[in-house]
Amino acid sequence: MKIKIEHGDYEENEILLRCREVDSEIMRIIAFLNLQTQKLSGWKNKEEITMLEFKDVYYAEALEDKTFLYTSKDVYQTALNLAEIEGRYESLGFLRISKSVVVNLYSIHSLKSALAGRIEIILKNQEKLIVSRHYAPLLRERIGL
Amino acid sequence: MKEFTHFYRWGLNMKQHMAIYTMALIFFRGVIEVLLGHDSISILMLVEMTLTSMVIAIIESALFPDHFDESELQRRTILWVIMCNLLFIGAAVLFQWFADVPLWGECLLIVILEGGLFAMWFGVHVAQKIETRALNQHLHDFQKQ
Repeated sequence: MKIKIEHGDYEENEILLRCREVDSEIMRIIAFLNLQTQKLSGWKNKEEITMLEFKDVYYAEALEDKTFLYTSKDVYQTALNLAEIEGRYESLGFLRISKSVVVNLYSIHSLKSALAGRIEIILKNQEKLIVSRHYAPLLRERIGL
Repeated sequence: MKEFTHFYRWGLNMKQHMAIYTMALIFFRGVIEVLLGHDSISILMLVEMTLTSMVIAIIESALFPDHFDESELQRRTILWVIMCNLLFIGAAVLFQWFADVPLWGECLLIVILEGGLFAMWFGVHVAQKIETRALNQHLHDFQKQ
């Protein structure tokens, strides 16, 4: 794959991808670009909305009918539900690991096999999550195991 | 909330081991009842087996917490084997679970107990360790993509 960078008097930075077909390589590039440009909105109180970079969101959790985004230290509420986070941002590394949690695979420090086919996740902030037996095969498949 | 989650996860793990031990005890008592021409197990015996299994599973979870120094594995495993033998055999003698079994049958049950403990140890500490290594290798490969 060739990489060309054209310098010029452009109003806005622009990235143009030319390809014969949208294959996995192109998809990864798009996912990477999305990762750099998209943000998730969340709030602690509704008067102040924070734009969160995806890499900073460790996981999302649904509690009752609300969804919360967890960063290394903070918790924000978001308007998106888990299905939307999972569906829209799957290519950015978000994966459902239980009925109520979607995790960012890039925020995982390590994994540990647990009893009864479950997997324990240790996040980069040392917080722990459990991948339920139902979702563990999906995680294994996603990371290519 | 974190304390509750921790306690909940501990309860899940502990109860799984407790269930395995209880089912094994009931199974062998059931086989003996059938061989003796009976078709029932006393409720008191079921309660004794369940409580003994619970005590063993609780001690086991204390011996093998979520995280401990790998160098302690051998010492903890030896303690676990001693504890299991003492409590299983001690409870069987105390509550007379297998008092009507001939000596050769008791010896056979002890051999099965040791085999079962080995299988548990292998399943929990060897197979899981191998899978944990594979999970982390694939995770890190995924994160580098």
